This record gives sequence, C-alpha cells and structure tokens, in this order.
Amino acid sequence: MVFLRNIKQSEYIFISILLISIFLVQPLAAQEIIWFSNVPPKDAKKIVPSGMHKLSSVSGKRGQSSIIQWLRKGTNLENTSYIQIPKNEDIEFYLFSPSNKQVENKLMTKGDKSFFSYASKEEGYYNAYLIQKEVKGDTLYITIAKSELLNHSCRNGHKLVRGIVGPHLYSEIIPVEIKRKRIFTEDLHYFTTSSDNVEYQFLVNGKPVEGANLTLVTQKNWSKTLKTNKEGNSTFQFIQDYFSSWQELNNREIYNYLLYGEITLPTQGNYEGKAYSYTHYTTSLSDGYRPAKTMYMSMFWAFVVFIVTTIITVSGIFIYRFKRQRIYKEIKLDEKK
Amino acid sequence: MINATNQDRYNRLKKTSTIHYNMEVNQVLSEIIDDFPDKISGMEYFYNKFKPIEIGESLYPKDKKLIASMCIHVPIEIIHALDATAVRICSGSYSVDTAGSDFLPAKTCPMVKSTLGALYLDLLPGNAIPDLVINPTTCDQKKKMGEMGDEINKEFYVLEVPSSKDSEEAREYWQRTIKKLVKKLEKITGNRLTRGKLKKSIKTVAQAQSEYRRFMRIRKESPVILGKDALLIANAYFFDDINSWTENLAILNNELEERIEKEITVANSRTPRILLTGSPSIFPNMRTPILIEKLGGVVVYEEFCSSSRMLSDTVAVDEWFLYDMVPALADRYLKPSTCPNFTPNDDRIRKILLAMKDYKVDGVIYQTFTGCQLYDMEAIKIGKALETAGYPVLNVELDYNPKDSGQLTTRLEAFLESIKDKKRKN
Amino acid sequence: MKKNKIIKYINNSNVSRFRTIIQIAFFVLFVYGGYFFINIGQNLPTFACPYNPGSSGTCYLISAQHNLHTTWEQLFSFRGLGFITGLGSFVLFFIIFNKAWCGYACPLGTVQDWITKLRKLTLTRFTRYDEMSFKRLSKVKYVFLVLLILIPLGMSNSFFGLSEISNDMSAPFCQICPGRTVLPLFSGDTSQLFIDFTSTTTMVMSSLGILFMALFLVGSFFKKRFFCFFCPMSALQYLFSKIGVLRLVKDGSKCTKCGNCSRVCDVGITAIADDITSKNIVKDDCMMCFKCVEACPEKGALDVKFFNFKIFSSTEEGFFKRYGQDDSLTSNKKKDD
Repeated sequence: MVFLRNIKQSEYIFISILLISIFLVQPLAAQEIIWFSNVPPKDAKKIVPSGMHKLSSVSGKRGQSSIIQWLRKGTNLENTSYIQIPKNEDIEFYLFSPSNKQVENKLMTKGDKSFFSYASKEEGYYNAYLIQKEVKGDTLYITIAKSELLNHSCRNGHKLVRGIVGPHLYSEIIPVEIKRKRIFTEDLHYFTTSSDNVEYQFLVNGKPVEGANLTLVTQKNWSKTLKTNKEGNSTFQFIQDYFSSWQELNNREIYNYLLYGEITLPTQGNYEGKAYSYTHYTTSLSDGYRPAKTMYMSMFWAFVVFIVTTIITVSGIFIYRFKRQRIYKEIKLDEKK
Repeated sequence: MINATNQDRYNRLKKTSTIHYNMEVNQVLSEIIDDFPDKISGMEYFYNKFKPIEIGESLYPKDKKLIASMCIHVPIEIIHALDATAVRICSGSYSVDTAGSDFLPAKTCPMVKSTLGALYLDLLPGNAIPDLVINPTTCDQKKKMGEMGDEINKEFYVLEVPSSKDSEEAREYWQRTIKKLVKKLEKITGNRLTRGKLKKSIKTVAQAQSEYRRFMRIRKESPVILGKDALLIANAYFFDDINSWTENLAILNNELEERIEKEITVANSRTPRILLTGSPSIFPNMRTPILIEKLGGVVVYEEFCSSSRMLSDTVAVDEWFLYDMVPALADRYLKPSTCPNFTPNDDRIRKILLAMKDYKVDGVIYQTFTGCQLYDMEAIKIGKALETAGYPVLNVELDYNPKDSGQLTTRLEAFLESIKDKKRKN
Repeated sequence: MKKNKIIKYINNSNVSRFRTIIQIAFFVLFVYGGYFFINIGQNLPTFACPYNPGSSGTCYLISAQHNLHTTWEQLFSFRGLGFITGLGSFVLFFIIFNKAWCGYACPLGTVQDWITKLRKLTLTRFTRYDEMSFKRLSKVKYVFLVLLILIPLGMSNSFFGLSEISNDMSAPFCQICPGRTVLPLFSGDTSQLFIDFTSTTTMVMSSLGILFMALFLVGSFFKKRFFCFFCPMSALQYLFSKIGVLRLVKDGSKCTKCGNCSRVCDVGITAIADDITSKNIVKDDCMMCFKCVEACPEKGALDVKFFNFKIFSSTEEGFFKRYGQDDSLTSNKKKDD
C-alpha cells in the first residue's frame, strides 16, 4: 500500500493496462476461435424463418430455401463479434454438397461482417469449411470454422435415409475435423435436443487424436471442457442453461451452442517460407438445439384425456342401452349357455 | 262356450265331420296316387303321411309342448330350439269348413273357416292338441279369427305383423314382436332359449331348405315329377318331423336324379308348363294341380305360401349369439316375404317373372278363394305385368266345395289347349 | 372340367377365413416392413403410417397434405406437378384392388377387426346405426376430406383476406388420426402419446389426437369398423371407385331381398339388399370384404369381378357350405351335384 501511494496517475493507467493485457494473454488463444453462426446480427434484415434452421435460412425463390451463415469470432456466445475476414489474409473456403461435390461459393462481406449463403437444393448435410493458416513463432496455427447443416423437406420423401445422414469427412482437404457420431435410428428429422448425450470425435488429418480439448459452450456461456479419449471421442450432455418464461417456451425455440476443439501437436514443416515445429489445430462447430420434449409435452395429461374420454363414452353407451330397456320394455335375451 | 246341450251337438258334429274328412282324404289320395300312371318309390313316405284321422291319442311326442301356427311368419326355429313341436295348422279340408261357419260369416276365406273348424273339433293332423295357437295378424280374416279363441276353447297368441316390410320402423316393430314371442314361448314350454340350441335348429331348417332347393333345381332341369307330388311334399312339411322329412326328401332327390339320367319324365316338350299361384292349395284341397295335370299340363312351380315360399330364403347370421340370431330370424321371416298382406309387394311380381324365365313357364294359373280379397286384388297387377311380358294368365275363383268343379275343368281345358296350340305353332 | 372345378372350389370357399390371413400378412408388411428395409411407396391408399418406425410406406393423405402446403402460385406452377404425380400414383395403386384396400390391407381396419373379435369374447352386443344416423354420419368423412385439403392450403395462402393459418396445424389430419397414436404402439413406440403445450393450437390438436384415439378404441369395440365411417381416405377412394378394376356387381332380378347381405355387413350398408336397380353396388362406406357375397343364397345375385372376369359369385352350394353345415346333424345322403 505504501508502495502504491507514491505512484502517479499516469503510472496507474500504465499498470492497469499491463495487468489487463496479462489477463488477456490467457484467453488470447480462445479469442482466436472463429465459427459460423446461425444467428444474424441485430441490424440484419428481418429474415423470414423457414425450414429446419429457422434462424439462418431464408425463403428463396421457387420454394427453395437459402442458408446464411455468419462469421463470428470468440467464445462468448452472447456478445461475440461478427467479424470480417480481411481480403489479404490467406484463407480457403470450401462448401460441399450432400453428394460430396464441391459447390462454387465464397465468403461475402457486407459492411463489416462476413457471411456466406447457398441455396439448399439437395437433401442431406451441407458441409462448409473456412481454413485459416498462419505461422507465429515456431507454431503453425490452423484455424477452421465448420458448418454442418441438414437440409430436408418432407415433400421430397424419405428414401435412402441411411446413406444421407452419415457424416461426411474430407480428410485430404480439411486438416482437422469434429465429427458428430450418428445415432443408430437417426433419420432426416434429427435435431439435437436438450438432455441428449452427443458424442464427438476429434480428427486430425483423418485420424482420431487423444487428449484434445473439446469445449461445449451454450447460449448463456455455460461451458464444459473434456479431453478426448483414446478413440478421440468425448461425450457431452446438452443442458438448458437458460429457462425462458413460460409464454416464450415452446417447441419452436432454438438455443445456440458452440463446440470447439484444439490441440497442439509437434510436427515439423515449412509453410510459405517459414519453418515451424508445432501445429496448433483449432476447429469449431455451431448449431442450434431444442429444449427437451418434457418441457412442453406431457404424457401424463394425454393419459388423463384418454381415460376421461373412455370412461365417458363407455358409460354413455351402457347408460343408453340400459335406458332403452326401461322405456320400451326392450327385451334382453340371456346369453348364458 | 260348450255346455251340456251343446256338448251333444258338438259330439255329433265331430263324428260326422271326421267321417266326411276321412272320405275326403281317401278320395283325394286315391286321385293322387292311382289316377296317374307314374310311380315314384320315394313318394311312398309322403303319401303315408296323409292318413285318415282316427280319433284318439295325439301322435306327437307327449313330453313336448305343441305349438300350432298359421302362415309363414312364425319362426319355427325358435319353437324347435325350445324343445317344442311346431305344427302348421292351415287346413284344406271342406268337411271342417262347415263347422267353422258357426263362428265366421259365409263369405270368409274358406281356409280360415276350415282352420277354425278343425281347431274347434280337434280334427288336426295327427290328432294334435295345441298348447298354444300363434295367430299372426296378416290378413283381415286371420285377424278376426284370433278373437274366437274363447269360443273354441283354445289359447290364441296374437303375433303382431307389420303391414309394411320395407320401412325401418316395420323391421324394428317386427323384431320386438318376435322377442316378445320368445318370452311367451319360454313361459309356455318352461325352457330357456339358448345359443347352442337355436344355432342347431337354424342349421336344421337350413338343411331342410337346402334339400328343397335341390328338389327345385331338379324340377327346373327336367320335369321328372308332377306338381301334385311336389305340393304334397311341401304340405308334409307342415307337421312332419323335420329331420325325417329332410332325410326322405334327400332319398327322393337321389331317385329323381337317377330319373333324369334315365330320361324318365312325366311330361314331354309339348306339355304346357304351368306356374300355379294365388291362394294356397293345401291338402286335401288339391283340385287345381290335379285337374291341370289330368288335363295334360304339368305344374313346374307353385308360388304358394304352402309350398315354395315356406322353404326359400335361408337365414344368415353374422355372430352366433342370441342378440344377432333372433333379429336375423325376424328379418328372414319379414323381408323377403311375398305375402300380399304386405304393401307394397313388388317383390312378388319380380319373383314370378324370374320363375317364368328360370323354369321356362308357358302360362300362369292364378287361383283365388272366394272371400280372399288380398290375392284377388293382387291378381290385377300381376296379370298386367305378365301380359306385358307376354305370358298368358288364367284367373280362377274357387272355394273348398268339391262339387263345383265342372266350370273349373272347362276353363282349364281351354287354357291348356290354347297353350298347346301356341307351342305347336312355334 | 378343370376350370369348373376351380370355379366351384373358389365359390365354396370361406372367404372370411382367407381374408383374416391376408389381413395379418398386410399388417405385418405395413407395420413391421420398414425393419426389413421394404419401402413400397409414398402414396399408398391405406394407412401405412410414417409415424410408425417400422412402416414400409407412407399413406397418401400425409403426402397430399404436404403437397398442398404451398402457395397458389407454386401449386399452379411446376410444383403443382408434384401434387398431380402424387395423386396419379395413388390412383394407380388404388384402382387395382378398388375398395378392397380397406377390407384386406388397411392396418387400422385390421386392428378394428381384432377389437371386434375381443368384443365377441365378452358376449357384448354390437351397435347398429339406424337409417337416419347412418346417412348423417356417413357425411362426416367428406367433411374431414375437405378440411384436410383446405387447411394446408390455408397455411400458405390467405382465404378471403383472413390471416394464414398457423404452421402448428401442419398435416392437420395426421394430428387427429388414430393411426398416428395407435399404430406405433405395435412397435412399442409410445412417443406419439402426448399433449403439446407449446401453443393453444398444438394443445387443442394434440388433445384431439388423444381424444380420437380413445374414441377409436371404444367405438371399434361397440361398432364393427367404427372408424371406417369417418375415414377421409375412404371418401377420397370413393371418388375414384367407379374406375376400379375389382368390382362388386349385383343382378337385381335375382335378388329376393332377404337382407342376408346387409345383416352380415360389418359397416351396416342396407343398400346392398334394398337396391335392386344399380349394377355397381359399392357404396362410399363399403370396404369390399365380400361377406355379403358369401351370405347370399341366390345364384348369381352378387358377383365379384376383376377385369370383367367373375372371380367369386354367390352360389347356393357355397352358401350352404358356409352357413348351413352343422356337423352334429346326421349327414344326408347326397350325391355330388
């Protein structure tokens, strides 16, 4: 305290900036997480919700919906910024259709925000990847933002479900991936629901990696970090960290989550003239999840309705039959053998 | 009411009536059996059924109640299922007709008078003494006959038959009537109607009807048996035990099928094929078919309630429980009935026209009893329908008196001749 | 002749027993076929419910409701072609067996027949509708059909300037259909038994769904084929029934109006007995189970025709074999006819 009393005003500011920057160093790595988000920024035009991903998709012409995915940076879901990729940076962007063909597409910038948009014509999962590579010091930073969205319309029928719902991996082009394990009975109406246990696998160059940090962040910034096991898997249970008021809670509500994984592996190499001896892989996946069915659906009340209806109908019929005997002296013949 | 002085009169009447009845029976039997050269061995059983009456014990099983019925609207399956004997007592005898005239005016239907007389004098086939007489309210005459129960010392039960058979209300009404009848019969017989017994009796009657249908198919195919015999077989159904009736009809059918193979027929291609319809011919009132066949015609189909109507339309049941079997029986005894007491009765015209086609009939003889208004009135409509279809019709009116056959013979002869002429020309 | 023998054998056969076997076979096909990867089509004229996980096809009504969930412009544009082809494939499936789809193939119908068998064990009397009720109730299915066409259209377009119907009414008939709630139970799936409290619309519709399930079960217990009276599939089928290849014809001149046919009719149609002028006797409630033909003792009064060949006729011999035989009676000496 005596020490501090003698420091001047300007020195206070300098020390505080130093302290803040020390704290900022820690999450600096986390700040480098880039991800594709369904949620449009507040000043974007009001988007007509349609299709399965109601926040992100837009009704296009001739009944085909377009998907917009916004580029964001950071791990604070509530107020991370929408960023814009500077033009001179070294980035690669890939969009794959459900039949594993690369679709011509690129990131667009409007104002200070970047996004990409595609018309979802085929049934199945569209995968999009943004790859950023940079050498800092002796480490090559490979940062990937992944978007994996399912497109389905019941109008097109439900054929060959097994083939369509399977995960797509592009290990030759995409260095690091997060793969969601499919449920055995998964069909084209899959949507992550709160209380689901979902298993994710962290893959580098197509091979599972043990010991990677996978973190799940939910809408109000609850987060959980798990290390992957020998097969590269971690299982997360989705929770609801946010309970809206009763009137707002409905099956239409979609919460957002961000899943990101990172690991540093010792690899030697050369990238654009710079040598590196470590590679830091980061990848992200973001989508929505629904509130648990038990939040708005009740089997108990269904049972009550069923029992009440049955009792009323059956007793009504028997009362009618009994009354019929009385009024007209309807004769009931005895069925005993 | 029969008191002491009346008792003498009653006894005398009974004795004379019995003698006359037996004379009548013997005469008709001899005509049927002896006056025709053709002999079918299977008919022996049926001829033996019609014997003269010997006053004495009833020939029916003593441990069972005897339920007498009239018309074709009483479900005999129910009576069988309650372990009772069912006898249809519609009578064709002139001898007891006069006895019935005590209770009914002279211009009444002779069959009703005859039945009433037979009941009064206990001159029923097999000396039957009914425990209950079921009287359906079909025609006017039968309705009023039912009021004579006290006079003749018999218990009558009025079975309410609706006047229409097409409407839903009529069906509902009739089903309730039948259920009430079941209750009454249960009380009389002391037995309860059970599922198994009713199912069995429905199937027994179905067997009988199946046999009779086979009989009719044989007649359709080739004229191997005369109408007088066919009528006798059907009349035997009134009072015979149903199982032995069915068995013996089956034996007769086998013989007739052999006859078809051997080509033994009672008529050739030039014989006029006649359809007989109208007021029912009941033994011993068999004048019309006997005369027709003596004069060279052959009766191929009788549309009488004493013949084919009684044995057609079999019951089908969906669930073999009482709640379905009893309404099914009720429906069968109402819906397809072509009795003229129902209005409208277009079904009878359709049935006759279908029979004309199926049995290759040449002409129709329509008989009406004096005093039978219903058949008389229907004769006009049916006559018109047959004329439009191009068939000749002869209307004859007669009663039970065997003495006025002269005019009948002449008219029948002329009719048959005209048909024979037409056939020869074609 | 061999041909006559075959005809005689068929005419004498017990069609009801044959029908029970066919019903079981189709039930297994439609309710469990999906587990064996069987997929018959999307436009079936019977209740193969897609809510049932093992379903091997989809009932046409759900396809129709999804197809009609478009705007007017889209319906009359190329997308309307999808509706036409769906309807076309439905009609092609349908006309081969005409209304026999109801009597032989429909799993809901089979369930109702099983409930009827259960009722017989309890010796309870079945209900018959009187003529007035029959005529009135018979119209309800057309009301359902019109509603299930109009409501999806009303969800995408506005009728008479009123606002569009909420999306919660999507597939309105499926939400109240007893097939959705009852058929999955056969796969052990109770996930359709709920009341959804998300909005008033979903609450009302899901309550109606449970209510209809209770009414279905109770109604089928007391009235044979209770639901078939109210089935919009039956109404839709009847519109095309006249061009069906399988036909039921009546020769009125041979009919004695004994009423056997309408007595054994599960649905309770009196027109089979009372109508002696029409040739084609299939009414909108008829499910072509052919019990009427079995119960008719007049030769040639009722015929079943397939491409104008009589494949099953009413005969005297057949009738007495089915209804007249009783083993306890002494056998009559009969020669073969």
